[in-house]
Amino acid sequence: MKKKITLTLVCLLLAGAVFAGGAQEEPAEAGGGSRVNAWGVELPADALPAEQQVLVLPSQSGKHMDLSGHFYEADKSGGGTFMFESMLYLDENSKVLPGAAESWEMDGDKWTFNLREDAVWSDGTPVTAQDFEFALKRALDPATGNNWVWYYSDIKNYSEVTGGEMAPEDLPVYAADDYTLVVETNGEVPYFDQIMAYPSSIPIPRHMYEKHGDAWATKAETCLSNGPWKLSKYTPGVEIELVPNELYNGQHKPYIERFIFKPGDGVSDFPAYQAGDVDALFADQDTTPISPANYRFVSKDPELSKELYAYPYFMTRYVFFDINVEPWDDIRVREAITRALDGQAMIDVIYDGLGQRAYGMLPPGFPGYEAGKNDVYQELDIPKAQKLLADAGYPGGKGFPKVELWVKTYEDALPKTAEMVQEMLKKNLGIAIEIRPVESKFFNSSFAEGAVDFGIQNWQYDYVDPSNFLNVWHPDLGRHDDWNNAEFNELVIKAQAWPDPEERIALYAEADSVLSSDYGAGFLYHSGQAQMWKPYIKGLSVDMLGNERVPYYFLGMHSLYKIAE
Amino acid sequence: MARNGKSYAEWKKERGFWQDALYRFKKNKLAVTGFYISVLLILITIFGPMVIPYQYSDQDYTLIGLGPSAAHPMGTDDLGRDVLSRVVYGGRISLSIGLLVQLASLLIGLPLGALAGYYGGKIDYIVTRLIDIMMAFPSLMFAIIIMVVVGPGYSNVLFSMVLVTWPTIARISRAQFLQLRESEFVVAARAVGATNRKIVFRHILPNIMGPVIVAVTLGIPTSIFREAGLSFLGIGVVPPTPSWGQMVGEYYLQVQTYWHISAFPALVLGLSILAFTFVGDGLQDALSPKNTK
Repeated sequence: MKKKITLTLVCLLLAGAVFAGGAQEEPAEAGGGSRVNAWGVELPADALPAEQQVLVLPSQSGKHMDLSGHFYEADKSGGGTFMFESMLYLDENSKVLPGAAESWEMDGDKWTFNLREDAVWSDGTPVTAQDFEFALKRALDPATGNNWVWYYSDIKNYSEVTGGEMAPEDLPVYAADDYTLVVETNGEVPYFDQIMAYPSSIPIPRHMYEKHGDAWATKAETCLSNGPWKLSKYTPGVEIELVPNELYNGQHKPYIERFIFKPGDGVSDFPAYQAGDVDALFADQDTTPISPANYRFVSKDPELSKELYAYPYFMTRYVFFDINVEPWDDIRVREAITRALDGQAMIDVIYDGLGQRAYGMLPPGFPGYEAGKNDVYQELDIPKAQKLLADAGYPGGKGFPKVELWVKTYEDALPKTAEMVQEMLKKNLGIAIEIRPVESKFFNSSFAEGAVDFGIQNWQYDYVDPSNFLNVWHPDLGRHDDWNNAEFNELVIKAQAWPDPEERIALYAEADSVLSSDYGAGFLYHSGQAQMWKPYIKGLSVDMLGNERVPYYFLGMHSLYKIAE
Repeated sequence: MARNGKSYAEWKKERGFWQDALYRFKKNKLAVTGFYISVLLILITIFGPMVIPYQYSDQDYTLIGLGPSAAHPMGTDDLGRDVLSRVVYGGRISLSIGLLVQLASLLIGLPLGALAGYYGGKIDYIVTRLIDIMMAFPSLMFAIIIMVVVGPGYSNVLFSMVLVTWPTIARISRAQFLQLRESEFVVAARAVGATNRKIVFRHILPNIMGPVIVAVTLGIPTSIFREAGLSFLGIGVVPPTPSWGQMVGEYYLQVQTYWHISAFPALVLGLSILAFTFVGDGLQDALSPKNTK
């Protein structure tokens, strides 16, 4: 009898537990997170429930999440560029949007940014102007070792601080009060708001830095965020996971709740994508998301090609010459080389047609670019090239000195371009050049020392303004002092602070023509790029040229959401 | 095998050491096959470029990435170059480096080891320390470091590889000289007043050629492989010069699109290494004094 009672009681208990549990489950599913995510945003009709809004992405290994610190060592493709909220944001047309700052204005050479007063860090501490001031001063402090700061060169006294002549504390960036940041610039810089939309323009939680020093950005517990996401798991180079920061109260609330990053070396990303281990092939600016060889494979595959998003990219690749060294001092030689190189063939062969021939420094679609303007200087013309070479004293390439074409090896396309250059010069001009493939750091340091007379370089855009491309060629503002043209220098300096925007762009366009016609470079091509996104990911942005893709900075991540597979 | 009517036993007794070795080598099927393949490869790499209608560096943009066909038996690469001509020319690079490195190591290592082993004392001390230092480094790693310092290129590859290979030969040479300098026939020779020169060249040297030849030959595949490793990493020969290792290194990640550009050089590389290894092994068996068959 006792046994029967005990048994019945146990059964009842179990049944009760099942029902109770079952009863609890239902309300949780209906109200707890289905159509509205952690920030209260209602998900699109075709989106999966909020708990399933998770993206798995590949990333390049970094050492920390501190973008004001050593920028290139940061996990910038592992969420570093979108986890935080920057001062401002840019939309796909490079229009400036509010971020941490709700309003901003320029007054001569002074910019004022008014921060949102209710913004907080993920631990509840308010985000203040002093946090921004601290971050900027730290970024420009030469001791920090941040090598991406040239970007802020428009800040007054930038050169003195980064050169070590002035203390970082004296940089004219200061908090007028807790929520107002003032930045003094070198003269009037109308595009400075765009610069404050850039990844490094984020605050640092000073209270964390004061307690933990540089290590603040290496652990999830101390690496606070002021943006929509925060770190839940972080082992640099091994594991990165972002979860919602419920305290985020800015206006840019996303759909995706969680990100899981798989740090790697880039090589195994494509097989990982094919296997479904990652949801996209998408990387930061320093690596091409998909190599030309894989691009070719994908574009021919009927299924995979639907997941491919190719777009023209604002980049320019060119050969440069040191005009202080023979034979490059002779403009006829430079022109001959330029006219013997078929940049279109390089695009077709190396990039499977993704891109176009370059005739100047500014790429198509960029302000200041005028189609057809510089063609006359740089276009392919082999007979003319041969004649010029003969005029310069090297008919048929005879007697041409031995030259080495330096090229970086970080990307396959570069040595390939070099080999095509070599072959074209041999076939079209009868010149035999040698290729010198070198590692990037060595190239950069040799180039900075002036040891490279002839090489291949490229430039990709950082912000949408012609100064970004053309300042590169100014001996003081940029990196090229192997070519020096007084007219060009004058135009570029004049354009810096020119008040009328249209005339300013026209000045830059003229500078570009001077560069092309004086053959500071033999422009090769502007290559395109491609990303891959699985078909169950929607909400890709459309960029200013009308191409669908996800920008790696700014608000690209905020519009994405997942639908059923 | 002509025996001129003599019985096997008699014939065998009259055979010299080298004829004996040759006989044993010939009996080793694997070694003989390896030998023929090695010779074939060498001949192809020497004469191939003269026969093939394409230049290894000629780019033809209308023929990019084609698979094997009648016109291009190994297909074309991504710059429109004929893969067969690149494999053959690359063979020149890979094989010549493999052989030259061993030859140079022989010319350097043999005399050094001889001096150390025969004379002993200070010379031995210096040479041995030198060998020890060189052998303390992992060879390929050391070669890589040297290449990074001096820059890429054929002669630099030769230089760095000879630097890491000569100690192997020197060690063997030294050990042999040490051993044989106390042997009976050397003592006897000295007793009758033979000069050191005569002892070394007429008595000791011929006797050590066996192990030395084996070491040199077995080192060939190692050298071929090391050069492939250097070029694979991009610090070997300079473009557009092909080498098997370089072709594999450049295209092994693109097997989905261009399997043929890395597959063929890899195959030939493996084949040549195997062939030379069989020859070396065969020589080792043939020249081993323990075989008294």
